[in-house]
Amino acid sequence: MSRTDATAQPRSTEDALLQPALQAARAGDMAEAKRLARRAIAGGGQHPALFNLRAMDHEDNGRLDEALADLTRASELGPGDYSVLNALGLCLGRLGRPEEAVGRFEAALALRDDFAPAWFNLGGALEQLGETARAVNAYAKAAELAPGNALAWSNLAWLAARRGDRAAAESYARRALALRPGLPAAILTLAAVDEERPLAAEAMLRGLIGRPDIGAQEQALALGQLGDALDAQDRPHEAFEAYATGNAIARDEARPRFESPGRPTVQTTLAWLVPWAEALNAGVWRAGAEVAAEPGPPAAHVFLLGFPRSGTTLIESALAAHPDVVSLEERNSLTAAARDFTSDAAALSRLANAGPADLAFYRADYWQRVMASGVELAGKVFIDKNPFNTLRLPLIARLFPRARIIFAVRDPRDVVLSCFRRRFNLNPSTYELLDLRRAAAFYDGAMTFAEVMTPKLGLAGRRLIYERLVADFEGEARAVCAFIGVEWRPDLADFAGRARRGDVASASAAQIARGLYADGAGQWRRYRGELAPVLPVLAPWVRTFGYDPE
Amino acid sequence: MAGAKSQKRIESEAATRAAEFARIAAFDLGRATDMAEAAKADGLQHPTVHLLIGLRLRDQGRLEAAIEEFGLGLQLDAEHAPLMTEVGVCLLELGRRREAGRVLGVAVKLAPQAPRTNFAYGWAAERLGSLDAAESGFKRAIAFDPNYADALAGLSGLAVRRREWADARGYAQRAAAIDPRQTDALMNLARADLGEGEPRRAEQRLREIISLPHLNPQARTNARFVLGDALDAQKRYAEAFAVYAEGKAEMREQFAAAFGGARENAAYEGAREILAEFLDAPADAWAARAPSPPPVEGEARGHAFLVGFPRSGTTLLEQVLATHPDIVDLDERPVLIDAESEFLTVSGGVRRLAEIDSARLAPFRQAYWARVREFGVEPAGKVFIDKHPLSTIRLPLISKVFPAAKVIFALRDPRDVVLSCFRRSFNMNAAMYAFNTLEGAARYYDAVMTAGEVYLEKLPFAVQRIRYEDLVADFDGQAGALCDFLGVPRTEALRDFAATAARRRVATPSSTQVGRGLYGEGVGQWRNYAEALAPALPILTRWVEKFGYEPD
Repeated sequence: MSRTDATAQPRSTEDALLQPALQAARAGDMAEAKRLARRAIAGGGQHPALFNLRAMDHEDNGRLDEALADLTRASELGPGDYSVLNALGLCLGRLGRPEEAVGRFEAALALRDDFAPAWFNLGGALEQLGETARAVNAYAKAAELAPGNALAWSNLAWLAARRGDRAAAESYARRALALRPGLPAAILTLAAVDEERPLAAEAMLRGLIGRPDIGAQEQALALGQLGDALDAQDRPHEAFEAYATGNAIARDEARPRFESPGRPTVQTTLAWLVPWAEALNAGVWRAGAEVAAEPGPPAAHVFLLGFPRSGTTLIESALAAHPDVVSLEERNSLTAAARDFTSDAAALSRLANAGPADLAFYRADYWQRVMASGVELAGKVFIDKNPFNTLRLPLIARLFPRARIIFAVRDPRDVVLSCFRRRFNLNPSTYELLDLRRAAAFYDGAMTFAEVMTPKLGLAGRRLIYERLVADFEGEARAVCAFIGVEWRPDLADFAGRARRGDVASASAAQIARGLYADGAGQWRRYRGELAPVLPVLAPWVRTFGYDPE
Repeated sequence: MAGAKSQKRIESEAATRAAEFARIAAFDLGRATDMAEAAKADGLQHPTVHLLIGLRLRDQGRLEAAIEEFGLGLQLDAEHAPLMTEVGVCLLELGRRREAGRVLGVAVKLAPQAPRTNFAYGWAAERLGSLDAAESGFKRAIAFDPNYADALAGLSGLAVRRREWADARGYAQRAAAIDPRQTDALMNLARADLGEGEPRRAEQRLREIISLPHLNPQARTNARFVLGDALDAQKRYAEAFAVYAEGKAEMREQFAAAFGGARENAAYEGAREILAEFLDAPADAWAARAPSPPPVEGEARGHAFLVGFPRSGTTLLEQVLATHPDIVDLDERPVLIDAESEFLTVSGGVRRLAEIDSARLAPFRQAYWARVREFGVEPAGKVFIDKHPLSTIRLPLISKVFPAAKVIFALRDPRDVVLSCFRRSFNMNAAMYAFNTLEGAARYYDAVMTAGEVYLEKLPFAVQRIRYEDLVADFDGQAGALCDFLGVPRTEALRDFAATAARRRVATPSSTQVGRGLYGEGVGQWRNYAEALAPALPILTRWVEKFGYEPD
């Protein structure tokens, strides 16, 4: 996408410096254009197009911060230049700052709402943020304005597949493929929706994996999907191999981001967090929490915790159909408090000693983030679902001591296997799940922590057993309703329709859209051999939660 | 001058508008075609306009109209390779393979780097049985467009014929990874599953293919026949039969307009008519061996017709013989077509034939050998084998045109033959339409065998009958006897026929089977389907007895 096609008309005083660079850009000689831009800036040129061009040069050479500075300068010089704003958004996105990127794209669109590239990029940033429904709107707008953009169609297809809308996914993907035959993302989508035809999916995916033109990320995705296709054919050994290979590729790709020296990982965090929990003086903590108690905006506040792939999406989807319930799905609502109080044991001790004013600040930040996602809290029961918040139990207890905790439990062997098999958007926690042993260690650490903390913190908690929920949905769901203080309604069982209509963003969404899935129970037995190395780590939890050891 | 200038301006305007259509067509073919139609109504003349409109006609299945439309474009630019390519493709879809081959041969010279032209050329070559040319066409298409899924699927199909399963799989997967709608590729994967002894996987895959919502009806029918084989390989015969029957019922319906209704019995009646005319003529018109005609230039040293009935082992026999250094052959090519049109397709033709002086048939002999050469076979100095199972009904014609020719009559258990005709899909014509019901196949078999027995009795041919089952059981003995009959030295090399089949890459439904080597599993198959065959058995009993097969 060209950033220079829409730059403002040059001002006459700068023409001498600007024109040569612009001419080179128009002639398609970008290398020359960038070189001339660098020279023009050095010679005192101040036109936004020059900074835009130089930023492009920085970006091409991986100097994202310099690029950001130049683009910021360009947008100050030419605040009406939507292409600069668009470039700024792209740069922020690459820097891992999607919230800010969204702002820039929206600003560009406010200046010119038929600028298709900004719609497309906005979709990408929203997708990164998990704002699926808004991302769909943005891509749809991009596709409408530029129907020849194969990537817009392909992204629409992928999002349709994730919400389980197969017909839409197929038609968008085919449209993308008609525009660009063999487009890897579209092939991946078609393979994903073709779950009833695992052999066809296998063929597509093997062909894709063998192609020299696909990147590591696509390779990893394709291998994961291949694993699913092989699993569906009841070929678990080959499936496991595919998952393992795909995960290894994803891990190699992401390692620099998540395992750079000095950067905390789940492992290093658990290494101090569990001993801290065990040593915690519960009396002091609970006394402090009482002081902190303060009602929030909703009528009741529920945290849905556990471990990924334990059925949290299922119960959240079901409960969210209740008119008295609103929910938030896997957003980082606790970000500010987590940033300031969970970096190490000393930080957690600071939390123990934080005064009411401090806590009020973080509480306000929390509610602000929740409401920013568009949730209407007044008078409702609010469910904050995020299995990764298990490790933030101390924050929850301190900020929201009256909150209720639903803790989702599922056969640990199925949980760990499922985490290993699933392809998550990567963050420091999901990165851990790419390796079977590390996933099991993470599980063990998180469960240990929860087991130690829950009684000490004195939170109102209830275990929700996934297998029981699947076997007797109404019975279990009624009990949960009673626990969170809403009345049972028969239409709660229609969560599948909701997943298809709405935006359930987690990896489970497509499964939920299919309806209640009992096929998830006991899957691990087919992978017994592959799971052998982690079974000893999981054995205590199998016992604790009362599952059949065999 | 002014006129020429304005003419130029109009031309350049047309070119600009056409270029715009082409650009839009890249992402919205429908819209571009709408615009082209409007422009044509407006009087705009440009090859691109005709190309777009023709493509729409083709997609609507109006192939002749499409060819006409492309032709209008070619009048504007006689060397427009894309137009020529599409003409070739339509001809192929109409089954006019030779014309297609010629048109595409020109197109590929005009645009040697155009992926679609190379692909279409490869496709035509495949349909014409030139499998090496097909491979090179497909490979060139991929060289210029690595994402050409149809060409990759084409290569996988060629690999299936060669029984190179890993290649077949590799190409098919590559095709699927580019265009998941490419169902030929998926079919080839199923064939590879079967070839590698994985019938359960083949079954699962074929059921997936059959369930594809976008599958076209012919492809679905073809998938049913392969599914039948996958079930057969698992010894699930009742299910297999039900699937074959379903496939045949679909074929019957798909081709009802062309071959059904009043024309339903055309092949059967045709065979009976020729026989009736044959019997009408005085017996001595046939009995006397005509004097050997003076040789025509470029004749073969020896000449034999390999006849019988479809699925009687003629392909196997032909492959075996073709291994011999002194023998050349052609696989079911219409080389006798000129004489046939003159004497067999019009009533009264056989009667005329009875009275004709052999010398007057020389032009037909010349035409015959010319056609043989056109197919790339040089018969001079060799024994030429003309294999055509249904040439059984053409024996009166053959005896007049080629009085010195020998006849190899291939026999196989009639119950296996009829079952096999029911289990296979054929390129459709009137005769093959008869195979869409078990009884129809049996009745047609009866008519052809009845005629064949009469002809072999009354015509002065040198005949060698060979039973498929004997060949499978005693290969060396039977092959040796055939060599003696044809007047060529016996040779050990005949045993290598499987390798030859793979190398020569032949193209009938049997060719994949023959590529597998001697296939004894084809013997007595009918017993697995005895119950389903019941309605056809009474018609076949006579032949079972006559050919000396066990009654049950």
